[in-house]
Amino acid sequence: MTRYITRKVAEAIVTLLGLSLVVFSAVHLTGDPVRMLLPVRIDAPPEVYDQLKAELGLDRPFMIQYLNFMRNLLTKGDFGRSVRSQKEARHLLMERIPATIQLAAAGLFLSFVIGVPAGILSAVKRDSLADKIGKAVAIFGLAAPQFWVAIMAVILFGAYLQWLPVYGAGGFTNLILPASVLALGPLAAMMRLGRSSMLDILDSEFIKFARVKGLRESIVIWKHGARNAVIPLMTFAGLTLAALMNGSIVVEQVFAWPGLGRMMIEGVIQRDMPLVQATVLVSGFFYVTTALIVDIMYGFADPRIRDTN
Amino acid sequence: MNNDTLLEVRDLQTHFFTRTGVVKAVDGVSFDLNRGETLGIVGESGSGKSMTALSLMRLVPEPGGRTVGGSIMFDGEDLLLKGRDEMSDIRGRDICMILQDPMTSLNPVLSIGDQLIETFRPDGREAAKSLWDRGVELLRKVRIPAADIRMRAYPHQMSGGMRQRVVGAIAISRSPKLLIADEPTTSLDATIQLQYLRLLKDIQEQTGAAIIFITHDFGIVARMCDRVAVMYGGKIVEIADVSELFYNPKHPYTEALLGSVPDLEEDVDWLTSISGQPPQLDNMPPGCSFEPRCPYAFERCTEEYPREFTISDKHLASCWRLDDAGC
Amino acid sequence: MTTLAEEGAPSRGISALIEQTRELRVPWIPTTVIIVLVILAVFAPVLAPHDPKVGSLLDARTAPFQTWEYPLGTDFTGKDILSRLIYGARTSAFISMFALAAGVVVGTVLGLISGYAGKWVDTIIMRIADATMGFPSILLAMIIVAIVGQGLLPIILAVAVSTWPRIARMIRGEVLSVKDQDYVTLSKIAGVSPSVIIWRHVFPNVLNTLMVITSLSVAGVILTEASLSFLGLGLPPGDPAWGIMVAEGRQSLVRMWWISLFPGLIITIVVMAFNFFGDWLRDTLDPKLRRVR
Repeated sequence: MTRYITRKVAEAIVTLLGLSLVVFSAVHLTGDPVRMLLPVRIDAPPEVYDQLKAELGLDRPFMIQYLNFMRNLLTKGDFGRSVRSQKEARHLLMERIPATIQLAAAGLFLSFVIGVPAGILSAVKRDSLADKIGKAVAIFGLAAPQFWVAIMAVILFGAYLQWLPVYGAGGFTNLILPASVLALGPLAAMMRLGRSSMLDILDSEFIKFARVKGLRESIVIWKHGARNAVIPLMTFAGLTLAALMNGSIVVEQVFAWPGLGRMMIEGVIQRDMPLVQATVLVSGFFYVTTALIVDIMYGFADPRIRDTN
Repeated sequence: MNNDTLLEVRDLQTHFFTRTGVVKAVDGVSFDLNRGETLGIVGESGSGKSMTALSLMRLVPEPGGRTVGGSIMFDGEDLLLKGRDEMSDIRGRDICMILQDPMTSLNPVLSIGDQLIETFRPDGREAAKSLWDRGVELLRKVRIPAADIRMRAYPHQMSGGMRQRVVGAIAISRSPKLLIADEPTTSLDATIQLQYLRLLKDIQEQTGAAIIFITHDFGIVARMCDRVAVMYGGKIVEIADVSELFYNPKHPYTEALLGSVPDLEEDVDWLTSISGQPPQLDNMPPGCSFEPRCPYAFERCTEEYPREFTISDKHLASCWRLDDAGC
Repeated sequence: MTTLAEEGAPSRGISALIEQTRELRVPWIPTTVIIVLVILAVFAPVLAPHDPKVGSLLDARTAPFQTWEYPLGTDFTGKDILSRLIYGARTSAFISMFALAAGVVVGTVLGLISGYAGKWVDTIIMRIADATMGFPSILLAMIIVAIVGQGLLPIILAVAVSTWPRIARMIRGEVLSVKDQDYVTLSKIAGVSPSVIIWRHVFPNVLNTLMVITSLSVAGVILTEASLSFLGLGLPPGDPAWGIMVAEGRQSLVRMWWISLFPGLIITIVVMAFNFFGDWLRDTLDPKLRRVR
């Protein structure tokens, strides 16, 4: 198990380093950052230009610049400055991260904690009314674009019914709509996968044997069935996470949620590259870390994984 | 029912309701089983032998399958009248079963000890320390070396033969009065097969359990069983003591299975196969279900299912040829 | 399950068979939706009653189902919603087709190479595929848009990048199962060059899989394209794209709900149609792929 975890952590670190390199080079390709810092005086004298360039360390070779950037990032948490606002990206990030984590955690909770058991129950009560409703929800959830569902939710619950707030972060009620919309797609996927996975498991010999042993049906289903049904779902956890992050960018936009996603879009549209770089790196970090946790949980859930190293 | 009788099955009917019609998987099966006795049930796949076993366990696959008639008197009580939880209590404690593929009967994500001990606690309450020792004891009983270490192992860490022993240990963990073994050795090679059969015999001697042994292998029947029932098309077509059946088979299907029938019409290798297909259980002819494949068939066989003829006290068979023999 | 199926109780077996015969029939609703979509895309200029980009201010803010002139209403500047939807089909089909084609070509080529070459080539390609597949596609698209700038090409590129890994993975899996067949081994012994073996022997064998995985990818491609358009990362505002139209409705959600409602509804229906169609194709052509997705 320790070896398994070590390997997964190492993989995560390599992925993050790779990401930072890709993003850093991407930012480099987008144009001259010095010119961007001198937006007003385009005809700035060459001395000023060169001085600024040297000040920013941009006259040095690419790899040195990258290593410098990484050193500042890792030792001081320094992401550089936003081109537009001239504020340190670090501070801008800190303002946004809590809201994003709040939203993503709620979405993750809803899609796994509700989606998976719902899929399992759907399989257990196959062809029942609940199963049919579940199927319809899954078909809709997989097809409807999130941004549209978000807008429809705003119209219906915010404007017409006026049940829930639809603008910005705040109390718990502010979270309900964005989190539900965010979770819809992943929830549908989890329900569908959970159902088919559980159906496979219910057909297996060890479930039959568990019944033969005289175990109560609830134990057969939850202890023997569900645990096995969840394992293949974990391989989809990465994709689900990706879907959640996609969704949170969109959902933050619609619900004016003050998170990283909106900052990222603002950055892209304003071509504020240091800011884009910072948000992408932080999102990537969250993504890789969560995926790592899921991987480790996977190892705990399935004894066979632990031994295959 | 006298005191020696453990199980009395009468006119058991298990049907499957499909979109194309009703499949009579078990169609009026009756037999008795004494305490400590071993009964073999023999037949081709599709004859209804496994479904008979599952019907006894009340584990007919749902939806679709249902036991629709008959009675299963077990120790004086009709299992078909038991509720879901009552039946759960009976399973494992009074009746247990070893499934066709013991290799895959263990849950891959639970430790051996967990799966062994939970049998004592079928309601899911936490197991006490003493149960752990009982588990170790059971593993020793089925001759698993280093039993206390094995308790913490997972199925994938054990050999196939070892897993089968674990399944055996679980099946006998609560000393059931009846053990059903559904072709437990088909997936094994010959030596392990022998070992396993010996283990089952041992278990029987230690616990005094009655065994229903489902197989298509007469060699195993000869080695293991006291009596044998031959199933065809969801019905028992012949039942007798093992030696009686071997030396004096009365039903042409039994003859065919035993390979003792002379080749009458075509050049068919009766030893390995019987010409024709097993009957379609959802489309049964009105007469004898074996008639289309039977070398002796005559007109009456196509019209009416043969009644059960008594050849001797414990030897029954359903074939119209016996009518002329004056049984 | 084998026990039960063999054991004179083919309930699942028989019903599965019926299910299959039923599945063999073309699902006519999704197919119709797809055909209509193609017709709209191809004949948009003929079919659309109005110019999608120019509205008549006099008719602005017409609610839907009021006049025959504007059956689905108009937006703030009097542009006809129906016409914009029809042209939106064209935009969506255009972007999806090119993005899908790019993704399929890249995915197939890399999948073939990865599966056939094996060893470190395989490891590298699959690692990149996994990383890309796991990485949020909108994040990727944003990086691309940030580099290249907004427009048609970046959006196609962005969608293609999010499409190829899955295709490469599937194709690679197929290649692995084909490559040890006798005829491939024989060709190798005969000294046929790898590219010829791949093209003549391996590729034809993965065609079924390719068709299935392509059809299953369409829905995702359409959704990604729409999301990017919605976020303003695609075509310029005002252009007829479904995602953009939904975004435009946000200016007056309450009083002019129809601007957002219809394009979103269309996307949902089209994506559903492709999902069902893809499922059907998979079940028909390649039942062993049942678990994919």
